[in-house]
Amino acid sequence: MPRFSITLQKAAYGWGQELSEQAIARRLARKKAEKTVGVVFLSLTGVCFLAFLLLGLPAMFDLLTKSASGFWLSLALLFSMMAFSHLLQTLETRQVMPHRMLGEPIPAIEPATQAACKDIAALFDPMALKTVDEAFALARKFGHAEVEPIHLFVASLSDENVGAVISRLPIQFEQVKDPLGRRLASRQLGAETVLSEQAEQVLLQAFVSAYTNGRQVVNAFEIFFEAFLHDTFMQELFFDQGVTQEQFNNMAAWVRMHEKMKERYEQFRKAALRKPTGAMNRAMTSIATPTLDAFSEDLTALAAQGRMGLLVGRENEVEQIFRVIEGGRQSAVLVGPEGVGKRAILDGIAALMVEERVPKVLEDKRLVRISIPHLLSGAEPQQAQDRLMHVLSEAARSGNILLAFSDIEQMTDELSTVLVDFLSRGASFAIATTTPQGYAQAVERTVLSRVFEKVNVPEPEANEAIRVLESKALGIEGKHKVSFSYQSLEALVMLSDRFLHETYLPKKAIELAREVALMVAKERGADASVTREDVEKLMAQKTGIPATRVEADEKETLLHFEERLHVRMVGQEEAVTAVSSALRRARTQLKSDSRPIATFLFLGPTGVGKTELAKTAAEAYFGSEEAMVRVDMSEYQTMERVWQLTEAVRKQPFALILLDEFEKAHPDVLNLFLQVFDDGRLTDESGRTIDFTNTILIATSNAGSDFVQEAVRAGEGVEAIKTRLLEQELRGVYRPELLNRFDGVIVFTPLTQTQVVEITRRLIAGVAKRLEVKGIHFRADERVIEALAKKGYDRVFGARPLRRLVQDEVDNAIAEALLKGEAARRDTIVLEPTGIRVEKAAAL
Amino acid sequence: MFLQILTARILGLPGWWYGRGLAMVTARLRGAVGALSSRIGIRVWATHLFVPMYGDTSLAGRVISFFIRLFSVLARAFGVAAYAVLMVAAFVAYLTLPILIVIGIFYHGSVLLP
Repeated sequence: MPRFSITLQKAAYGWGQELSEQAIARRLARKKAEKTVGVVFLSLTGVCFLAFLLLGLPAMFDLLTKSASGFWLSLALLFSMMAFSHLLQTLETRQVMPHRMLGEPIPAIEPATQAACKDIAALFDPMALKTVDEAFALARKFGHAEVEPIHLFVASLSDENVGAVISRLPIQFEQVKDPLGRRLASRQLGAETVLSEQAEQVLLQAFVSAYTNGRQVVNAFEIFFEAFLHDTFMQELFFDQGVTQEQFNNMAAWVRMHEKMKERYEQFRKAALRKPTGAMNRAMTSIATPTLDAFSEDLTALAAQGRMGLLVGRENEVEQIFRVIEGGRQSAVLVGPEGVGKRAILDGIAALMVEERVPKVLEDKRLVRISIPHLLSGAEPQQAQDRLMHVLSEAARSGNILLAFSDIEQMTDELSTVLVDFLSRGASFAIATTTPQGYAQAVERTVLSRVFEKVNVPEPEANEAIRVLESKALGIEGKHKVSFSYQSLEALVMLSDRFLHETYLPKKAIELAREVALMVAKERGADASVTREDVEKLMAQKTGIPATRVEADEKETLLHFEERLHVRMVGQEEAVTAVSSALRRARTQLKSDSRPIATFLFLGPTGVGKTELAKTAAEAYFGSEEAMVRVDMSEYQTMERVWQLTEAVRKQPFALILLDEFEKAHPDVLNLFLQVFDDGRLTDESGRTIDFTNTILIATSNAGSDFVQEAVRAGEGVEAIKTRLLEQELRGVYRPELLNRFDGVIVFTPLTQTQVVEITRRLIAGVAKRLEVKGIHFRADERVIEALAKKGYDRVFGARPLRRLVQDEVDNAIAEALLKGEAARRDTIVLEPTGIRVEKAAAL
Repeated sequence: MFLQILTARILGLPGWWYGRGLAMVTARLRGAVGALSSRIGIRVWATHLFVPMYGDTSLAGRVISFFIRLFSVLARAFGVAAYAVLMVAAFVAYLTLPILIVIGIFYHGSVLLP
């Protein structure tokens, strides 16, 4: 008797198949015996029929006359009857999977209360039954007391679909072999092997999942899937190999989708046979529509020819559209950003129409997409209007046409009026698509709003996008002869979601998938596997920032980021530390996804290293100094010029934005930044959203620098200076809410004499480096460096004049010496208080 | 096991033939007729009997359309009916086959007796 059962439509189901060596042997014997009985019946039929043919051929058509042949014929018929009944009875011992009603809750497993359970084993396909038997054989081989989920798991590995799952996950058999062996060896031993309670639950759950997914039978894959979910050890083992439970679920969804696609394809082909692909409907009431045909494409005809992909998810949206249309006198407009799959929904509806799985008003109709650019092209407004009227009147007279308009915002006002007039007379329905901006501009505030009801199509969640991508992957794989690992699909969705903000899921992930497939096919040839690393590499190429996960050697770099910054930066410990920790947070993805990577306000006098630190950070984080966009905020005295800023970020979304002299911008411009700091986005004048989430924003300001200098001279600590700055000195300059939104307000203190000397030393080292290229050595006397430091440092401009000074005094002198031919390769130029001296190298 | 199944099949044949077997065969034959009538769309034609074809709503168009549709419906109905007759024949054959076989065996079998 089963220990657990589930109740479906008032009938109890449980695992009723006995699992023992004898039972398995018995089942095998029965199968064999059934086969033999069939063969016996068929042979007898054959023999009798042969006897009839040989003995009584002359009397064949004269059955009323008593003859031996008539006898043999009767016998042959009798045996064929037996064979027929035997065959049907053997096949009929299987049960029929109960049909799941829409919205029926998923049944729960309960302890069995009654012995009269229907046996779910009858609904297991041969491979699934074989898996159960093999799991038993495995447990028996080890002498285990119970068949546990792990046995079922291992036994299911020989299934074809299971193999496909494993091969796409980053699991190395070599690495799981030993832990699996140890786990199997640690099971309890026993003289007899029985089915454990857990394993029984796995089998029941496999049945439930086949039932909820609308499958006809339970296959080995369901057993594999449920065994995994029931065994924490397997989950941990897979986790160590880098496979989380969510990834496993999505992978299973992929396999199920393929199965379903196959099943659906068969059903679809049958339905498509009956769907007319021409203009004529089955009732033959429609008329020819030559003008309409010239400006449109027939989506139902395309679907019936099998040219439409599978619509994944989106049940809600389709249901909403049907509800709008069934309500009568209303058409629907799908509103969603570019690339979220509005067109796919239209195509999906066309496919549903082919199968006639649509409301009654849409039966025996065709879905025709009118191309607005076609209507408008080469036509005066008046002409375009005529064309549309012609098209619509054909559609109305034909009566079997559902209109579709992609990007309805392309409609001119005149065309809109014509369409609204047509639709409001109830002659037909339409489904249109547009973007949120398009909706706001072209539908919401125009006559179109009278007939179109809005249906929102949001960007799919990451998991749903992965499933959409899975449904497309097969086609891309076939085209480029590569195969995607699950990890690569996940990376495509996750990374495009994180780094590409101009477009939307799932389109951007699909496009990226095509690109990466092409890249891999070119690099590694046919039959290569696309890995996560390939996707990361492509992403890095496209965006210029490292998309790879933090690897071991990079950890070192990140941990010692301060030292890296100090290679270029002298002093300003606090600033360097603050920037370093912010970048560490960003690189380990601890930062919020909806804000910029980091936002800083650098305060302090001129020439103390604010810009230098920004440059250094750009180089360290984005890989190049070029990734710094410098914006002079004093130029933003009015709001009009803000688009220059947004344009700069749009062109270079992975950059460090240096907002120089932040306080000098117009207060309204500053207010815009409140939004940027909070949401990481800004909408430009054309309604486009500019993404700031991959930027580091650094605002610099000289405000209060006099105070800083005074305070430093008076020997105050940095913290005290900062507090007073924020509380008093900056009050009139920045609004407190703006100051509070910076990740860090960093005060740069005036440079000390030693620091200036150090900077000079580095500038001189720069000169030496430039000369090194020419093969000339260079060194400077320590006294010269100190003198230059003293001379180049300015109280007002800080270390800024220093560079100029080095240029003037050092570079110029060297240039002169080079021009005069005083220094050549291998010579050493020495800078001394008296001037330039050249040490000639020994002749070769 | 073999003998057990063999005997069960032989002894259980009459019961199965006129019980479960009959139900299965009837369902199958009925389904075949239904599938044919839905494939040639007889319902669509019948319900649109008075609807003009090709959107031609003139009087002449309506009259012609009515007769064309009527003819079409009749022709299709005839097709379905013929098919149904075939299926009924198959059904009758199924019902009478065992009886005919038994008669046949005894009737012709008497020849073989000495």
